[in-house]
Amino acid sequence: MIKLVASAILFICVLQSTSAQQKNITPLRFKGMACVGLLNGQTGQSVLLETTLGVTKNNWFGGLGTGLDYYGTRTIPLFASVQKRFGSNKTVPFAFANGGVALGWATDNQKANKFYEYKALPGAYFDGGIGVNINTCNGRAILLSAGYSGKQVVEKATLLPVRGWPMPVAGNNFETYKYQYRRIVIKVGFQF
Amino acid sequence: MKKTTITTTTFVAILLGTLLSGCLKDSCYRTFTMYKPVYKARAEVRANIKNNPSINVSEAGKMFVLGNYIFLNEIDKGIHVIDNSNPAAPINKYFINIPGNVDVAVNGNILYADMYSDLVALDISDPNNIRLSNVVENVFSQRQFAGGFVADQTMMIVDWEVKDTTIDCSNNWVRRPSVMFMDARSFSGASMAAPTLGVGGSMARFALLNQYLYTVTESAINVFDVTQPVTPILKNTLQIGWGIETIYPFKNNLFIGSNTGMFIFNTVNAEAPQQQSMFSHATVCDPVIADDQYAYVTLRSGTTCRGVINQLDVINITNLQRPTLVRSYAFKNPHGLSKDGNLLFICDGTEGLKVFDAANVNNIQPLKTLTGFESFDVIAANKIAIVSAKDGLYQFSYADVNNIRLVSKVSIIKK
Repeated sequence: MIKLVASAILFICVLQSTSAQQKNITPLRFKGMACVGLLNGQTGQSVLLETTLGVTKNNWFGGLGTGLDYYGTRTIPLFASVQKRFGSNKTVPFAFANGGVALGWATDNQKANKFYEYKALPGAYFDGGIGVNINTCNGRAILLSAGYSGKQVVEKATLLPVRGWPMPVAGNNFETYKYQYRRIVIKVGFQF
Repeated sequence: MKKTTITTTTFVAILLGTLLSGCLKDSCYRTFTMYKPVYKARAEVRANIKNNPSINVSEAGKMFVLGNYIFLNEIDKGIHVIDNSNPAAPINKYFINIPGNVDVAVNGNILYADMYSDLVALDISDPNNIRLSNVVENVFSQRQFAGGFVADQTMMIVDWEVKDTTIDCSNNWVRRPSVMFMDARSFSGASMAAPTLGVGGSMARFALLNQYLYTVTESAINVFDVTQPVTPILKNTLQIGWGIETIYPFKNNLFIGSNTGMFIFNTVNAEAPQQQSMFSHATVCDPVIADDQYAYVTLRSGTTCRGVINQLDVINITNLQRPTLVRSYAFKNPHGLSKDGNLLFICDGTEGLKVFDAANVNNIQPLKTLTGFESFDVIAANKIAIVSAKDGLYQFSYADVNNIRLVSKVSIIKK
């Protein structure tokens, strides 16, 4: 997964070097993006919500993002984001790469379970792809993108001690699940 | 330009999706501990219920103090017999192998213990020659294994082989199936209590009162007639609702701690105790002890106990039909408790053992906090407080309340 993220960043850097001649120095500006995404993979289809805040300069964007990822196991991604736009027309193609951690968020059903206690451990999170940025006005834009996304989720389920037995129950009373999800992601959003 | 860019991007996206479609396989790995039962013939198990050479304490359970001896449960394995003639140097003398045992109570020279669903009676008149006197079969029917495991009924499980395993669960996306562990650790719980003959902890699930042995399960009270101590007879089973945790006998009453409140039963009709009242509280765990005027209930939160309350409730029980709260005191995570005279001992989890002057229940005064261990239960008698803790069995002398001091520790040695 780390290799994939690194490859995506390298890909963007290569594109940057080929368009170096088109550099147009601009001042640093704060930008935000909010997207809704459709995730499709072996487990099925699910929804992704994410928002990213950061700064942009010379067609580069860097920032930090978070959101909600409902694919397989509900998680909250926390990630660093880098984006490269190619050109400055009204409709501009771009490439992006996000990398960080996925934090598990137990569902109400898991919390209500009387026999097991669930604890989610952070796992890796990344996504990368390409898209188009359709500028509207006042620096706002509509974003359309498609890419590949992966996340790891590690869950520890501990068998609760028997009620009325206040001492620790002997033996290992837990099990761990390590999930690796790989999905295609299509996002629609806006930049502000 | 715009149309071309969108078309190109769409084409690349489709291409990307097609190329990566082989990379869309999700995976799942499940790591868990498998338990394989080790069986022995029932006759062989029964023949081995006697003084055997001592073993290290590794999974300490509940305890019972009788005279100079401490009977300390080794969870699901049996009972350590500890000679405590000299509290400064307790001697772990014997181990009684009782598979499935978690509770103990003593009636004169007879020790009662659970052995999975059976009740065993041991003659302890000579602690150096403890013998099995009787087995009453299938009286704890609630004792079941977790995860739907069914043991071979013709044999008895004496141990478990343990193995960690990781399997690919990609092909079984039913998450958290109902059978998670072959963890056959006993359902139930139990323990001791018989202040007139010995001293048990506040987390007891066995209680002796007026020639009757009362045991509580998750939802019921079992009443055994022990007029003939060697031959306990199950007389009655009363369903009293779910969440029952502990039982504490005092005078002719039974104080029963449940996770929703404290029940008071009288034993005028010993074989059919009658509920006199209930003192409700939020859903938490609540060991209880009592004296002539007051009941002391510790309420604690935690994974099993749920809830968020951690406190001591002092309840006026002068009128057993109408118990009333006197005052609550905040604690970190209070577990077992014990009282000797005006001294109140409370195990406060990771904050150790706390000692109070409870002469005035409206203003209980802290005297000493003994730290450095995670305490679960305490028995205070004869100026010695015996504390069951995560890392061992501690003994503190309170002969001088201004100088409560550690006199010994039997360490727990994990396997």
